[in-house]
Amino acid sequence: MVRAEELNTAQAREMLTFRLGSEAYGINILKVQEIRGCDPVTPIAGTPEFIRGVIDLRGVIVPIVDMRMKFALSEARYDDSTVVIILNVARRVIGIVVDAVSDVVTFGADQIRPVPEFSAQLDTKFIMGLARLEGQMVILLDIEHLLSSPEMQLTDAAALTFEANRS
Amino acid sequence: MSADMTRFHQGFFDEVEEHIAKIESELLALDVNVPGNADFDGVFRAAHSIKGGSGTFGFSEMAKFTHVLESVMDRLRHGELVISFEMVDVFLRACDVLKAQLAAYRAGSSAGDVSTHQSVAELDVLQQQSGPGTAGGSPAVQSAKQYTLDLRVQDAGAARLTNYTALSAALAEMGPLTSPPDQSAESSDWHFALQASVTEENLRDLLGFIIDEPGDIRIAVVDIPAEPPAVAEATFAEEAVAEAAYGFFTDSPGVPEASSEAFGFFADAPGTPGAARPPSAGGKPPAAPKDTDSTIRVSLGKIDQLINLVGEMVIGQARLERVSGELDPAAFHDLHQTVAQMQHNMRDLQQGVMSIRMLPLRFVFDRFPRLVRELATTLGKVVRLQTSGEETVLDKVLIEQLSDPLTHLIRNSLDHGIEAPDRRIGAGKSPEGTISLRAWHQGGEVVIEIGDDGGGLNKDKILKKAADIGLAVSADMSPREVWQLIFAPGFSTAETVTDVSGRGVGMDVVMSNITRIGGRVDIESEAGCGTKVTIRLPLTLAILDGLSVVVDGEIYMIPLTNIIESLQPASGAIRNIAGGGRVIHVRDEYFPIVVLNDVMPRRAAAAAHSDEGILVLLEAGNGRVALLVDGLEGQHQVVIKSLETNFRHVPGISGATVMGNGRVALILDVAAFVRHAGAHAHAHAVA
Repeated sequence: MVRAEELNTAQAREMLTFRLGSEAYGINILKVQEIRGCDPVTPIAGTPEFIRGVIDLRGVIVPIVDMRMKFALSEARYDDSTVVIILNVARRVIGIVVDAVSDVVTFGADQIRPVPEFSAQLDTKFIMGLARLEGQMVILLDIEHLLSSPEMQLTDAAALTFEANRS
Repeated sequence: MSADMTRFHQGFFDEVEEHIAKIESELLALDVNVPGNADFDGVFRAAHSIKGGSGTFGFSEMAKFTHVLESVMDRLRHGELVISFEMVDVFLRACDVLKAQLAAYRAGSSAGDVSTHQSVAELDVLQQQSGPGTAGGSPAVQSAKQYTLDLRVQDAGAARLTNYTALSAALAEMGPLTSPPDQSAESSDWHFALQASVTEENLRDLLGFIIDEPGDIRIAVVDIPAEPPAVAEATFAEEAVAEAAYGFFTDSPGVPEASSEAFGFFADAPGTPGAARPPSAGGKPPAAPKDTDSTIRVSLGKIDQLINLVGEMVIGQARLERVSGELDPAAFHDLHQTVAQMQHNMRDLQQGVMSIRMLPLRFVFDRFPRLVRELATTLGKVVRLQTSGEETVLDKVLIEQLSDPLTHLIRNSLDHGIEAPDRRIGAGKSPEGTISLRAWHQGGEVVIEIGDDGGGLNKDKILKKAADIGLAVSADMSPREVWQLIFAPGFSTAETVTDVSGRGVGMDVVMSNITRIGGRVDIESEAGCGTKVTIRLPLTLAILDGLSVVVDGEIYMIPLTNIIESLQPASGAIRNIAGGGRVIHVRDEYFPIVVLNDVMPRRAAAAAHSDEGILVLLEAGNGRVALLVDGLEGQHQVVIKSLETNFRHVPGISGATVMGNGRVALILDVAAFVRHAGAHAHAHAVA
């Protein structure tokens, strides 16, 4: 299920790869605003656990999502390599916590494989494709789609949809 | 009119708006009982400027109409007519027509659809009315003068050509115009000879309006014998004859406008031109009278950007202060001094920047004299409006939000508060009622007070009505609690639903509007003596005076405007009530106790109810609660940041701010806590 329109241009194939637990993920480099260390966050009661809270990013209040908790990875440890990737998605600025940032890689169209249907924590509709890099599988995420989806509860509409579906 | 002219239009529209506002305010300031003192020069000049400008720009409907208006005002100015209450009404309705025309032009359409018919008829009656000085009522004839104009122009290129065309057209409209045959826009000096019944000042106004940078203007005057001015509006006059049969200015009580207004002021009364409406509550505030101070127009976006940047610097400054405070004062003496100096400058800078957004309350207050006058006439009451504190400044956004609630409160005072004159006399009061509208600054807040000397609120009636619509009431409620009932949705004790008020959609909207902008509403009332509504607002929505409190190790801000007091509960002061609720008794009042966890359920299970900590008594809307916190941190002035820009609304949180240590602190939405307590109490009452 490769989203052709998204992967067509060379730029779209330029991916920032990062690690969550033992898995490697890639996201479109154009969505990335900056990468920074983990500042202390202010937790917000009444929100899901994977929403760590908010930080002040040069005067703008930015929510921070811990992708490791969202993907139910074994343990979300904070150490020296834990970083926050600040993203520009869906006209918002959102930060995601990942275990480590690896590299910026340009994938050729022939390196990307469609996603087989499988049951996972992460709905396959948020995966643009799978790629091989140095013998390891990289999951290419449709980060914009994922972060604006109802289950992330990052927007008013999303939170409402989520509540409605649950009840 | 050439397309080039459109670049002048915006300026012209703004100017017309100011002129209309000037006419209105001068008319309303008139004391019709002392007509001798009235000075109509200003009003006339404003009308005349509108006429001149609209003629120049080809807005012929407006030019025609202002010509009629101006002619009547000219007679007033020369003492041929004596101003009367009814006459002011006619002029005010004419202003409405002008406003409607202006709105049509602004929208890019023709003002042909705006009905000027009735207003023109009314004005014509005045025009033909005989004044004290003239025997026959012949129209005034102003003597025409011969002017010679010499101009040296500095504009160049296309602008110059446009100006020349516009100027020639405008002058030609005033009277016979001649210019040297070889003269064109290219000449650096323009000469005109004009024969017109205008003043030199009018000419200068016109020149100033059309030409951005008039270099040298010389105007010479040669008086010539008077001749009747050409009446371009003959058709209007003819149309008007039939209408004049209304006999508008006969002194009989049945004047037409009185009967039509019996339909209700805010309904479309037949016979009233649809356009000639009173300014609606949501309307734009009238343009400020031109100050002698020079001003510039700046977009609000730029100012907000500046305010944000300064906010950032204030936060940075606080951090710098904290860091430098940890250094040895002796070794870093200079650093400490510099930081202290910067802190001082920063505060001045922040105040200066914030003041840009501030506007005087005059922008809302200015619309009320007319509202009161017209409404009082409709209701057959005699009411005087006293305003004070118009110069009190408030954030622009708040000013805009205030206009609806204030309009509503004033209408309420007029309709329900002030009694009819005979009843007032019966009660031993002056037949003339008074509504006072006052504003002042008090401790970082703006207080606005709307008072009337009417009959006051009727406690029994309110209690009965409240019981009827299913509100929880008891006979031993304090007056304050009773008055708060009228803010409930659907509440109205008016015996008859009038068009002015009484639909029961009023006070709850007032309350919710004021609460939304972080304010509070209080009512005091004394039977027979009147009612006073007090609104308290924060100065601005961009910064907030807050108290920081600690709950479970996190810092939260509570807006100071919501805080009544904080106290350490004495042991045993907190009482448990059946069903799990807890209350505290403070000075004759029971406050329901809430904790953060009630409104914002946290992941970890909350600790069992404890009596440890400090209670902060809060007020929002018409409810009060006591919030239990672990400790108080201090009072700060903080910059409010939106949580919703990048995230979403979170129940119980109204925004966020950045503290001196760089951490984000959440600002509590006190109204949400009050609502929670209310819903909770309600659930108990039902159970």
